Amino acid sequence: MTEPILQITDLRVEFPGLVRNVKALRGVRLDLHKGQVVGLVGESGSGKSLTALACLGLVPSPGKVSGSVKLDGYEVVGRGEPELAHLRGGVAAMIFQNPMRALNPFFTIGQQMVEVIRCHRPFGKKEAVQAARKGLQDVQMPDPEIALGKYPHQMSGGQIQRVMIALGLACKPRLLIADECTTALDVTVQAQIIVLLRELASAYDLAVLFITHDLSVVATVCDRVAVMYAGEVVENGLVVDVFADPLHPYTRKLMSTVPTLGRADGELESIRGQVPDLALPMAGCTFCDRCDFATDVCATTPPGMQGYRADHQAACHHTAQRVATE
Amino acid sequence: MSEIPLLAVEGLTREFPTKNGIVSAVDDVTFHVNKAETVAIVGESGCGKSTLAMTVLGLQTATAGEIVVQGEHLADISKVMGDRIGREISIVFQNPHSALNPKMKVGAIIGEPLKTAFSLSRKELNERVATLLTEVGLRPEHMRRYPHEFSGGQLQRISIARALALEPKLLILDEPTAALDVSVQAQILELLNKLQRELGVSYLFITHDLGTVDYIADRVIVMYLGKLVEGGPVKDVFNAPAHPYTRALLDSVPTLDPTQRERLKIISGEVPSPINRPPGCAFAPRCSYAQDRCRHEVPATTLLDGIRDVACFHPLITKAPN
Repeated sequence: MTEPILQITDLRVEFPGLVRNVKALRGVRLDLHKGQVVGLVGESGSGKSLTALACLGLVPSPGKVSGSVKLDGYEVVGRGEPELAHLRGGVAAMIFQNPMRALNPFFTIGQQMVEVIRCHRPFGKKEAVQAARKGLQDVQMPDPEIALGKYPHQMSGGQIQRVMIALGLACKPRLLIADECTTALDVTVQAQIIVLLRELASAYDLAVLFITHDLSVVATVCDRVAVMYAGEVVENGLVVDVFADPLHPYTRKLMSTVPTLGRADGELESIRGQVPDLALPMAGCTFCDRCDFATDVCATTPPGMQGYRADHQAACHHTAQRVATE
Repeated sequence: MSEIPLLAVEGLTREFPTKNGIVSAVDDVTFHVNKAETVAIVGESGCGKSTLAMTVLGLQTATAGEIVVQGEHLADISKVMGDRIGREISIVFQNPHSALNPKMKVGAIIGEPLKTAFSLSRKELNERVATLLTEVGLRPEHMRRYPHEFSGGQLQRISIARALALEPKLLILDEPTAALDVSVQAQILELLNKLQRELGVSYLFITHDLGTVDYIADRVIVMYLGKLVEGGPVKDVFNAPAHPYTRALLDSVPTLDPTQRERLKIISGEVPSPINRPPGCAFAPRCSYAQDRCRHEVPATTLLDGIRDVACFHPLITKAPN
C-alpha cells in the first residue's frame, strides 16, 4: 500500500483541569488513504471532533497534544502557525457542522470564495471568480452565477453546506474533513449532500474523514469506519464487515440502540450507565463498567487493538474467544 | 369510532402576517388523538409541525379551525377553564438545557406546577416529587440538585417528570430526543413507552426522525409546507406510502445496512418558502408524478381505504395491500 494521506499514531490530547487533567484523547490510531471515505463515529464527548481538530493543528489552548499526525507525510503535531497555514485548505480542508456560523454574514458568497482561492493559488481576480463559479458548479449549486452574489442569509442550510463543500474543495485538497456536516440538515437535503460527497470523493480521488454520530449515515456514505469511545478508537474496519458483525461490545450496543425503519417490533436496547469521566484514571478497558461481557481482566488491563479478520480490528479482551467459538 | 377522541383538531389554520404577505404556517389540518395512543407528526423544518403543537397547547391562537379536548371546545372556554385544560395537556421541549431554570433546584422545578394547582403541605409536595423522580428513573435525592449537575438524558427525564406532575391526559413531545445521543435516545424512548403503559397517557410526538416514529407511534401524520399530506397507521403508511412526498421522505433515510446503500434516493430541490407558496399542490415542483392539474389545483384530503388520509391527485396506492 502507498503512504497514507493521513496517518494518526498514538494521538493524545490533555486539558489541564482544576483537580486532574482531562485526558480527552488517549492514543488514537487511524490511517486514511486516498480515495477512501472513512467514518469516525461515537457519542458526544468521545473525541471525534477533537481528533479532526488535531489533524489540522487546531486543538484549542490550553490543550496539550502529543503523539503524531502526518498529513501527506508532513508532521502536524508540534508545528507552529506559519508552517501549518499551507496545509490548511491546501492539503486538508474542513467543513463544519453549522454552516450558518462558518460564513461571514457581511460578505457575499463570491467574495468569500475568491478570498480563499487567492490565499492559496496565484490567481488574479478574474481567474479566481471563474474558479469559484466552477467550484459551485461542481457541487451542483443551482444558478452558480446568482449564488456568487448572494449573502449567506439569503440561502438555505442545504445551499450553504454546498458552498462550504465548494470552499473546502476550492484549493484541491487531498483530504476533506467533514465534521457532522449533515446533522443540521433535513433528511431529504441530507440525502442530497450524502450523494454529492460520494460523487466528489470518487471524482477527485479525495480522502474524506466523515465525522458523525449517525450510524446509518456512516453505513450509507463510508468505505471504512472507526468507532470511538472515551477518547480511543475501539473498532476499525470496512463498513460492510463492521455493520454485518461488530466485534466490540460497544459497537454492538450502539447499533442496537438506533431506531431504524422497519425494525419497530424489535426491542430497542439501551446502554446502561454513562460515559466515564475522562479526568479519572482508567486502569482497564474504558467500557468495562457498562459491558455485559466484562470480567476481572477488563478492569485491570487495557485491551490493545488486535486484528481479527482481514482488515478488521477491535480493542476487547473477549473478542478473540467469541470469534473462535463462532 | 364511537368513543370521543381525547383530542380532535378540525380544520386548524394558523396564519402569520408578514411584510411580504400572509404565511400559513398551519393550513387546514384535521386529525385526532385517542386515549393512550401515540400520534407522530413528521415533516421537514418549516412544515408547521411545531406551530401545530403550540396551537394545540394554546401558546398560539388559531386563525381558524377548532380544537376539541375531551368533547370541550378550546376556543369557547374562559381562562379558568383554560387552566383546567392546561392540566390535561402538557409539553416536553426539545432542548432540556434551555427548558429548565438553572437557578432552581430540581425539586422546585418539578414541584412548581403542583404548587400552582393544589395546596399541598411541604411533606406532601416532597413525596409527590419523589414519586415522579422515581417514575422517570431518577432517585428522590436528586430533587436537591441543580440542573447543571445532570447530563442531557437526565435533564430530559426531569422535563418529563415536570410535564407529568399534574397527571395530564395528553403529552406533547416536541423533538424530545433530537438533542440526545443515540444510546440516551433509546433510554428516553423506552421510558416514554413504559410511562404510557403505566399511566395511559397519550402522546403527540413531533419529530423529523422517521426511525423514531416507526418505533414509538401508532399513527403518523406527514406534513409538508403547513398542510397534512398523509396520515394513518404507521405500519400502513411506512410500508405502502400513498403520497409521493411520504415515499420521497422514506427513500431519503439512510439505512443501517451498508449493502443496501443504493436504496437511498434523492429528490431534487428544497422545500419552497411559505411566502412564495406554489399554486396547486405544494409538492408539485419536486414531484416526479406531477401533472398539469397538480400545478393549478390544491388537492383535497381524501380518505383512502377507510383508514388513511391522503392529499394527492395521483396517490401511489389506491387500496391497502393485504
